[in-house]
Amino acid sequence: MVTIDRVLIANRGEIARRIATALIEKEIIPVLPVTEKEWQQAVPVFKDCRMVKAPDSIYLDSEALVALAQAENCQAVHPGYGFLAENAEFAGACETNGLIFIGPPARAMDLMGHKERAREIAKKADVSPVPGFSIDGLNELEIKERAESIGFPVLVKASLGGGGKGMRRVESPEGLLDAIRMSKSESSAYFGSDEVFVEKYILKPRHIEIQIFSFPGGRTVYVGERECTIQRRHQKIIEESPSPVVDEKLRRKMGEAAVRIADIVGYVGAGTVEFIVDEELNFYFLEMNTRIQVEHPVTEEVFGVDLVAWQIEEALGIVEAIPQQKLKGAGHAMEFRIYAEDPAQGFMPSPGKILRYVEPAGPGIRVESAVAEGSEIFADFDPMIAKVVVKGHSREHAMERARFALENFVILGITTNREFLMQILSHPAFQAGELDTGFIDRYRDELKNAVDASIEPEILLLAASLRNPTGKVAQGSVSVDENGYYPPVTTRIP
Amino acid sequence: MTRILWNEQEFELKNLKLENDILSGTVNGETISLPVVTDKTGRIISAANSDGLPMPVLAATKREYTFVQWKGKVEKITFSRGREGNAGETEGDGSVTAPMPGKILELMAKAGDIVEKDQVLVLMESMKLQVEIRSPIDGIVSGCPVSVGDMVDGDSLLMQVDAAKQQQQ
Repeated sequence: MVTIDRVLIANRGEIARRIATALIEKEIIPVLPVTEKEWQQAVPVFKDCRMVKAPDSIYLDSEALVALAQAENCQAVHPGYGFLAENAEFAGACETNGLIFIGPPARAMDLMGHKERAREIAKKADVSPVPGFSIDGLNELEIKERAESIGFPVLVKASLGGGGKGMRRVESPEGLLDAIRMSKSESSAYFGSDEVFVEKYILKPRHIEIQIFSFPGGRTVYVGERECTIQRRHQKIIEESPSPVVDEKLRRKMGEAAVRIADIVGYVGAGTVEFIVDEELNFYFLEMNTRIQVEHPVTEEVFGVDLVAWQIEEALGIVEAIPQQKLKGAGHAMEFRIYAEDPAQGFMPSPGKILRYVEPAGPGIRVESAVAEGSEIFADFDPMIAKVVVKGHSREHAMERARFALENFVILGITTNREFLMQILSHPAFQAGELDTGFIDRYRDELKNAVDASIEPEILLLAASLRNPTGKVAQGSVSVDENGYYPPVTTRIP
Repeated sequence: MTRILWNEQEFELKNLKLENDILSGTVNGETISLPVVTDKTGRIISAANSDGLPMPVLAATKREYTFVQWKGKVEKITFSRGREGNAGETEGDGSVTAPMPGKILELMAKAGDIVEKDQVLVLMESMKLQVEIRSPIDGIVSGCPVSVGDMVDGDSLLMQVDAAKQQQQ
């Protein structure tokens, strides 16, 4: 057992809030680097944390993070997801400097963090990877030849990447080198490495992943699957568990495959093994994410577990191993990622200030966020505002609750994808669970047309009356002033 | 004179009033009334949908824009001053502006270049994503006030394109 009373969260946003809450529950002080720009708006959200002013580059600066953890007398570091969460050098730097890195050992991260090596490990574990190759050391001609030998379309992706950053689908040999150039540039900006990888694009694929947790002594369990097939720009926007196509038999097969992979690398803690599943339900190893995932709450809701608490308990040396047969899922959970982006304009980011913000609440509704009214979504970071997680006794029930939650999530002042998510939710194919990663592109027009553009003049009355700074409406007839405001007049209260 | 614009249409609103929890007014000559619920300060907090079910309503105002969320939908309504000019008059304007704040990664055209509508002129990075900014019209690039590496605000001018028809004459 280790004494840990202060933990550095090497992250920001909703995952920093999620980790902070888990730490505070265990009476551990979360220490949080916050940039000058975000300071004001972080104060109300992280008022129960130790906040430290830091430069904008902090979340990618391994040395500065280690120095900060030491200066703040932290005994451990939680990396969250993104940024340096899957950077083995950062994990190594923490370990060398006497800090516990809340994640797998640097060696396991290094093995799995590299896509080419991870594929070799999968093969060793008797799991087929998606056909592909690393472009490292190949010249332009060789790259084209190898791509043609696996067959177009192909996907170009960052070797160290995740979350769709630095990933591009290429239809024919002509676009390949451009896509590689773009991926390299995005990859260096986001992951600090420009290594890229080319892999076969499976038609009509589903993206299904297995949550694993390795308890001390090599006891690895799988905690069900998550269907993460609804994606835009190769980034997940809706996740659910269980998957509409995974039955108990397939779950066990995929789960055991994931556990074998984790065991080969001596994994510790929470991890996710991602698979591509084709139309015949064959599954191929895609990659392993050696960290907590954005969509982890979906699993937590179905299995009634707290994965972040397990991570912390594992670091403290007090985690209680749960046997596989005790992990039983119940009901159905879904997560909807709310982004500051405009679906009508190719999901272009739409940063800006949130003027009104009210999160939905009710049975089976969980919202993960780190914003408040008045928060600004800056262009510097990922544009995710919040995650809406719903739980129901069935998929239908979860969808009912999702509709209520999304409808009652108020975010005014910036454009978000909230209504777009509602359109997906009402689409017959989504409701029937007929999903593949091309869903959004295929139904783009239907989803767009489904947006009700009808003119209801009632909304104008509401806008005009609420535009008035006091929100009050006059008794009797009034007209707007030169600023477009209706003069405030006291309303008689009946 | 205030003009109300919504979904690229102009509206005239008169006789707005609230009496006995009924909000009413005349929109483009048509009188409308709507059952509402107000809080103790008199602010409207919900309004009935066509089935009579009260639906929460929230609003926020930024300069000339008012955002209203009602029945799960957000509407952006513009209350602008002045009567000159029409909505959508920017059609045919060759200003290439930044759709959001970000960094200039690459300028793919320079002053004097002949460009086509939808040709990529600028590559920007925002929120770690690369965004291509395209020419709104056919024409000639007449100016470019930004350089590679610049951080720009949303709506800032990146390039000016003069319409092609001036060349044909």
